[in-house]
Amino acid sequence: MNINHQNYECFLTDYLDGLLEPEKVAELMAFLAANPDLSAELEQVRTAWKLPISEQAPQDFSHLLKDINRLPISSSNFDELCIACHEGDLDDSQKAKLIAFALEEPKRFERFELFSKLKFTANKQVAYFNKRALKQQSKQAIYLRRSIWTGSAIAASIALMLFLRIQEPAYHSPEIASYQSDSLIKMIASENETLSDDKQANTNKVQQTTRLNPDSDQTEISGDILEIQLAAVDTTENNEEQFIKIARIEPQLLMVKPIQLKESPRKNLESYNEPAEKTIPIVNEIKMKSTGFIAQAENLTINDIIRSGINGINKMAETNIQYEIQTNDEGKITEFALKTDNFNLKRKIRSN
Amino acid sequence: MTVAEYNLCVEKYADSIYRFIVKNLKDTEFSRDIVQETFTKLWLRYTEVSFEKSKSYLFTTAYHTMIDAIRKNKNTQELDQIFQLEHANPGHYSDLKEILDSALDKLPEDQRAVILLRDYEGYSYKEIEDITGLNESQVKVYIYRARKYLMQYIGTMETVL
Repeated sequence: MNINHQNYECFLTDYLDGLLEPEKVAELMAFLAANPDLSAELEQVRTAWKLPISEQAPQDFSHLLKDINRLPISSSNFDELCIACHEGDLDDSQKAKLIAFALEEPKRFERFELFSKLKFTANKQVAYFNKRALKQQSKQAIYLRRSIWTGSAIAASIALMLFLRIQEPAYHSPEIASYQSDSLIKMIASENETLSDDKQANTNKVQQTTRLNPDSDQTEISGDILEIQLAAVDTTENNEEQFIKIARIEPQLLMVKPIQLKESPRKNLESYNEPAEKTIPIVNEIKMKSTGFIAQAENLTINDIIRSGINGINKMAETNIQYEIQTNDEGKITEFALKTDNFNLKRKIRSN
Repeated sequence: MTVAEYNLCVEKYADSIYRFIVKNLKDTEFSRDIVQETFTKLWLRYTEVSFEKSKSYLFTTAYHTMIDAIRKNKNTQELDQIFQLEHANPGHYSDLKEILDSALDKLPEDQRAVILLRDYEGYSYKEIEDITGLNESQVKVYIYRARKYLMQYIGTMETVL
């Protein structure tokens, strides 16, 4: 590319930066020699650009541009004036002169217009991807937000506990509790654990051996543990009806229903020692005595206890509760079912 | 400024700063980092910076962060402008915008930044002086030189059309 009035400044600054090739340096020197008006500018530029920009004292470079509004318009400074015009550096008078000069030649005017297009416009579709992450919150806002979340969590927990409380089996209700007498007995045993002789029930309760896993799933029985709660027979004279209830076999598995006995109340304690016409058939040595039950079990499995209880209920209440189990190869109960005409409960037992 | 004003600055200027940086660096990930660092610096001093001057503060910080990053990771990409002019082939491009974008990449970083501050944000010479730390005359010279270079890169009007 030949050096001319349109591009000499680029060659000039590269020369001053020491980036110009030797052959181009010679060409530039020849060009400047042929254009004496530019030689003076070279000296000015040489002085101004002697030091790197960053090390220069705050110098005024305006002399390089001269007083643009007073410059006579010519081909040598046409580009510079076009730029000044489109940058808004020309006054109206100089601008009018420039346009008039440009209109003298069509190509010159095209060049003048092309300079106006040498501007960059931002693409508004380009955006920072996550302004939210840049934002900050005041300390008060942070505390308030944390308080709201904490309060909501507490409220939700309370609501959940209340909901679960409402969903608990009916035997926890006062109505059921009122039926329970002092002679309430809990018989709790593991299927694989039998009650030994010395584990005799006292007048009120059997010593518990294990407890139901409180974390067990409502639809499964974890381990081989069941809890059976037999309500005592109400033998008060004012109460002509006797109720036996199965409070629960598994939490929330069964609803408690009072089963009215048709048997008349026992008149004295001694009569309980005698087998009643309708008594719960005892397997081995479960006895029921006095105002409550005395359970004395030996070599019993939980299955035996359950079956005995259900058979007794069927006898006393003339119901037809059917109790069925399924066992695995090891003899462990894997599933049990309680059925009546109006009720059908089947649950699998998971061994821990 | 207040926290609310700071967040308003994020909303108003994050995109502009990002566009300016990414146009200079051509690297989206790096540009995001610079934007994030810029606003972090503002946040650290938000009580000392007034909302009215926040834009200028942000662009100044972003500019210097960008220049520092460029100089730290400077590859030898200071192409000889003359070489580029000789090998420019505007005939490959379909429109002026592509040609300008290509030419912009060839500019030195200072000129490129100054031109983009001028065109993207409409800053005056004085405002660009405040942002870049350059003398106002230097800013003018850079802009003039860049415009002339762009014109030379484009070539003749017939080539563009």
